[in-house]
Amino acid sequence: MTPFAIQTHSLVKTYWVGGRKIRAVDGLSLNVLEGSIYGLLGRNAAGKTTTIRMAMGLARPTWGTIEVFGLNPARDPERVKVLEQVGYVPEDKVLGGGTARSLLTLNRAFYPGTWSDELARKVVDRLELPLDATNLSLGNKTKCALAVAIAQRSRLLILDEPTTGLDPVVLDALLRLLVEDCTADGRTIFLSSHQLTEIEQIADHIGIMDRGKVLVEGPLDDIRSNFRRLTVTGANLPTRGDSILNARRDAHATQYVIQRDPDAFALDLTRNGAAIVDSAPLSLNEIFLALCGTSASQETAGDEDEETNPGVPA
Amino acid sequence: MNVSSPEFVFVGIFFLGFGGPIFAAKVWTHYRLKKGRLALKNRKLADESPVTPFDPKPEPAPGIVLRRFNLPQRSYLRRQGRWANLGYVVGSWVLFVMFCENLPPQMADSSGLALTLPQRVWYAYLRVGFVFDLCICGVAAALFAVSAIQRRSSIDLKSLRMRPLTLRFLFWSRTGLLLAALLAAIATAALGFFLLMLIFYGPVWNHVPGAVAGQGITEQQAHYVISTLQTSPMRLVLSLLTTSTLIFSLVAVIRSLPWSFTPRSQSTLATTLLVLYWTIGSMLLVLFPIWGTESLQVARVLFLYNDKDVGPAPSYAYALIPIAIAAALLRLAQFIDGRREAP
Repeated sequence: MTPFAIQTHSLVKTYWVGGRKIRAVDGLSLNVLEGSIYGLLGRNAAGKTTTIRMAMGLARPTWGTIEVFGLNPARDPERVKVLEQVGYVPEDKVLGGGTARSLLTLNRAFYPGTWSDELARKVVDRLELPLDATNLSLGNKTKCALAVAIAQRSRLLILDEPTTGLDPVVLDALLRLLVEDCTADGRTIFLSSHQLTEIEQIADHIGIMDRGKVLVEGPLDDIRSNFRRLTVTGANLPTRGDSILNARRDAHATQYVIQRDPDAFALDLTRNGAAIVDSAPLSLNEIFLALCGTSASQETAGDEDEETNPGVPA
Repeated sequence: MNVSSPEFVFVGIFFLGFGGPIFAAKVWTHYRLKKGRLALKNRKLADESPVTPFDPKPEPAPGIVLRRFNLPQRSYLRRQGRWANLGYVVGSWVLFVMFCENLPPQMADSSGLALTLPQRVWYAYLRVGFVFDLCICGVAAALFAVSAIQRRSSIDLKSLRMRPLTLRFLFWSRTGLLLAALLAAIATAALGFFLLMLIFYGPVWNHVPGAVAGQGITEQQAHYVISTLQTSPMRLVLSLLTTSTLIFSLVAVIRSLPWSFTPRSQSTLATTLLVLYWTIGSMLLVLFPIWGTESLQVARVLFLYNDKDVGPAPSYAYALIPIAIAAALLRLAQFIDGRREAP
């Protein structure tokens, strides 16, 4: 039995848009441990939603594999077994027409083994969801989609941008609900967002992806401890290396963002006569900006190389 | 029977046919709104909270058919069943009204054949009326198929593909229920039409002449007329049903093709329907008479009639051919539909 709720291997998804081939997901390898709260972070069009759609069997991989609890979500009857165990809040929060009450009633019938009316009432109450309104606002659509998915008490909860349109009070209530009611019995939450603050509050594992690729993945605490900003003075300081995510030279000092083993890197520098002026941990937001900024600049550099030296790989 | 006496009745039927349901729907909506407002007012007067907690009723006991399915499948079938019921009610009413267009006495054949009124009524219906009915059923079948194979952007399509139901079940339950509703609507409308024909003209299909005379009519033509008049209403209804099933499955395949779901598809839906209508129309009205005898054979194989050289009705065994073709086409549509990605 696999210990992973979701696992992908070299996953690729391409689309044809206006005669151009777009690689929405480009060789993605993710490992979402069962029982974790996994936050998938990324900029717009990073490939988060496409990955989730493939996990739900709504889209087929062009290349590579994706497994949910070791099952292939793209092929019946495995797809049905996956969907029985997954609660899903889609990015557009579209669940069909009708009132929240009718949607809850309809969805209740699809999950007879796990659905909880009590939990449904709790979510409706906590999120202040109007049950009989016909024209739902964006915030209420989000609440409705969340109520349906949470009340399902599924083994895996996939939330694609679950905070869209929610006010701070409801958002706080949602985060509490997720931690209190959705992680019991080893259940997994996989949520994608570019709202880092919320993810940082509840996630224990994160993956940061950009342009269809994973830039970093692992337990949040490990990632936080691996990344550090060092301000260093000295001569002949390195600008490239495995640990260096980026290096910026000012008039008096060099500022590094280190992505791996910062203590060993600092020790190396001091051995070579450099002085560490400042060493500060990075917030998740800073880590995200540093990773995505570096990824974008590498991509641009790659494109420029491609233009100047066509045919030569960057 | 006096030819002009039932005219007012037919005018009344057409008026009620389209005006009646609209009026009834208006009255019903008004009644529901008024009832809702009154209930809200009463609640406010009683100082009750208008919000009742989420407390769903248990599932009603499933019938003989639904018992075979599990709860998620039953829920989906009930949901689709409501749409199919609506399609049946609207479809049977509209088709009945359209069929009745062939009933007024002035529609009786006036080609100069020496026939009695019941024979002229029946011959006119077989020659013109039935082809019209076939076209109407073809359009209805196309519309039902368009509704059955949902658009790529459909909310329903996406939301239901997230639920634990196989794609095969989703396809067959939706398509099957709508096809059943279509066929039931056609059968009901045809039954109503033949009953009305029976009331106004008697059993016209039983008045088969031994010989037909007329100006410039050959022996062969006379033979055709007589053999045509031997056609039974049952055979006609079966032909309507098999042809509609065939068109339904054909449109289902076209609708499942990937190009049917480009962003422009919504704006070109009307064009698609027009093209389909012309395809069906030309197949029935133009193609067969031009081809002469061969066309008759093709029509026979597909359990069809044509409008010019009405010949003897095909035997019942031929009805299996369009049914088999339709089954193969629907299987193809299911295969293509299963390959589609959700929006």
